[in-house]
Amino acid sequence: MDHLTTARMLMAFSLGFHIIFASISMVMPFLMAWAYHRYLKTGDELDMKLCKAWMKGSAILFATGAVSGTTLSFQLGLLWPTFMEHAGPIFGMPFSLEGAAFFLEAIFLGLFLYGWGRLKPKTHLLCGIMVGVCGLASGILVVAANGWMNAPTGFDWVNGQAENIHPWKAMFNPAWPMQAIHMLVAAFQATTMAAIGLHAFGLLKGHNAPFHRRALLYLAPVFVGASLIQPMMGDLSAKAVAHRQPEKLAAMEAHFETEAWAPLLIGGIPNEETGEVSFGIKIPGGLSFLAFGNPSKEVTGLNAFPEEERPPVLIPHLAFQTMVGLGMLMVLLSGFWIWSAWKKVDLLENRRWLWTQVALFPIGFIALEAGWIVTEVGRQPWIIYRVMRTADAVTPVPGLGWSLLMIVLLYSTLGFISFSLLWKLFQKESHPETTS
Amino acid sequence: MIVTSTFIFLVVALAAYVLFGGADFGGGLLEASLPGKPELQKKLQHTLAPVWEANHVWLIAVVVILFVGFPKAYAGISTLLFFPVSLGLLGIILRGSFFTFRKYDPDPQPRMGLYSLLFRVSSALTPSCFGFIIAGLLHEFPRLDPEMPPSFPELYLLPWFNPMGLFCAIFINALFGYLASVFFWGELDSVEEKDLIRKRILLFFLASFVSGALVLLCGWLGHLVSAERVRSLVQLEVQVLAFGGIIWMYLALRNGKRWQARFAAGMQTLAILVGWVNVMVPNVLRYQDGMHLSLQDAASPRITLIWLNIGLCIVLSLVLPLLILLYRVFNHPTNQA
Repeated sequence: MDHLTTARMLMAFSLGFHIIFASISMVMPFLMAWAYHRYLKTGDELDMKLCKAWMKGSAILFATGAVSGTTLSFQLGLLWPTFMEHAGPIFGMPFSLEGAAFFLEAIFLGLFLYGWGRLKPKTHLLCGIMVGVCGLASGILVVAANGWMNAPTGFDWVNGQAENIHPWKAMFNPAWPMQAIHMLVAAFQATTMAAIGLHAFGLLKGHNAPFHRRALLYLAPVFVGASLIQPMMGDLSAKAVAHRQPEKLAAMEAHFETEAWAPLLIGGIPNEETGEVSFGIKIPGGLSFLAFGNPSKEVTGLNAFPEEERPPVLIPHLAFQTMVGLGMLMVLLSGFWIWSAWKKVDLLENRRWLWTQVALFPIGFIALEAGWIVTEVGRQPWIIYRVMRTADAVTPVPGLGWSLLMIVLLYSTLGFISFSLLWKLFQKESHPETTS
Repeated sequence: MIVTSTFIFLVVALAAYVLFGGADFGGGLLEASLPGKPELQKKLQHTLAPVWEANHVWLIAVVVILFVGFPKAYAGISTLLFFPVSLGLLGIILRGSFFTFRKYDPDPQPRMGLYSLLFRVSSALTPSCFGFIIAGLLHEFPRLDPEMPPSFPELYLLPWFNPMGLFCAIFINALFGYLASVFFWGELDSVEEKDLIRKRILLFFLASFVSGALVLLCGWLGHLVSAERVRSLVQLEVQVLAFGGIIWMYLALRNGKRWQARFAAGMQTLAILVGWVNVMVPNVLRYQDGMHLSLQDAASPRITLIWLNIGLCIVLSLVLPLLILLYRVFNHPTNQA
């Protein structure tokens, strides 16, 4: 593996690891607070038990998210010093605010996790809600920085230097809103889908059925809401990409030739050398319609761009197909949840349905990771779109392979321990005799 | 002016990290220095638990101010001190993770030894790396000349992996252990436990004193610090504060005044930090060709610095009251987690 690829793999692995924990940190506080709110309102001990079980599980994941997030803020400089040297003054604003949100999140988290019996219940509840609010703010702000890399604004690039810098213009770059909403909804989808799978398993095992039923009662509506909103967000995101980064759209869709009535490709294995696609199904005019709302509109193909400015095709295409496919599967699952509520059918009594939820528990996170692969690989060869190449930003320090090996081993071990502890906690907390 | 105020914010964030994060790191070393005292170790863990994450977010503040306010310094440090920074991160990841695993494992006993070992080793690893980074920043680096490139060790290892780096690493660990002991002493009620921790305070103080003296000796022998700076008024003042703090500490410990002891340790630590900053500025990175990277050269354009300063004022006004609330809620043994 060459130096640049090693650096990219290192960054990808670190980001891919962190994003799981960051997403859970954004979503779980709201669910914990909701359960706590219900307890304060009704006095139902089951809600309190649920809140504490979620809280303890999340505490492990929060810590792993916090340390991997801290590491990322350094890795940007360690791996891409030239990028940070030039980009720091431009897109520093969202990073500074993200740091502040992270700080507040850590404070509220300390108060929520250890504030039982020391804070008034309403103050305590507010702290729980604020953990979620700050987590969301943190996520939104960090996506602003990534949005800027896709749609760099707020400066003039003159002779390899940034001039006329406007930090706010950079922060409010046009890619930010859609990317942020798409990501947030995905975090809710992924986290609730995984939690549904976990509680469905608990229900199947027959331990403390009321506990798991209550959990699923809270999780399912959030999952359904997020899964139904997401296709609209995805569609708007794709339209935005079509306007701003046509080569990324072309890579996502393995669209090589510029043409009107551009077909939508479902599946398929693209060959970057020959520009041909095997095994795909093409829907005529589909891509033109999705990108521009008009089936006869011309869509620019990859061959219209200089070879050295084209992104890789195979990885973004497969990742995009995975994301869309799993997104559609989640819409289908949501349809079943809605149907059951409408027809008053108790899906939680259906073991086949519960096993399906268990089997599909990681699909939200797989879709989320696939989405980030599309965003990042689809922007290549640029680290700042059409301004700075990734190859020009990489560190000159040799021996990155060792860092990659270290991070892979470390994060794999931590991930394994985190989730096995979560599993043990889950078994203990969901046992009917466990007292809160 | 705006560069100076940004630099002051950077030093304030660094000071907060050294005090709060430092006491937190020192907790690992203190825990290791209490073998056969599981009850006391447990109390120490409970004292750290609610605040450890907030203590370490100061590091994020430092790094954000550095890359937004002084991006060339951030890029230079990240490249030239790649290895100690990377190893320090390894320590941060291991420490936070294993502290939490130990706390939330529903059946920790079979793995307690491993959790504690990794927590304690990583608690010493990161401060050691801070020591190496400090030594590296005082060193003069060769230039990355494409025609006559310096060797790998010359550029990436020797500037920090040297006797001065080793003594700095020991010094930072001892200082953090000292901070943790002073803080923990104030959390205890039992006379016997207080006596034991008082001995640790003395131990860590002596270790800091000896290693600190060796650092100064290395700096002097290696001509890393200019004689003019060493003789400056600021340096004289910080030395008076650092040494004067010992008397204050002694009186506070004798009279059982926990807040006075903490302020004395804080004052000594801040004096050391200011002393280091005083010998560093106006340069942040030094090169063998004499073309050092100064704060002014490393700073972002004015517009970025103005907004960064405004943002930091707003953030601090939000964060500080909440931090005070956090510490107040958990500031006594009866209120520990």
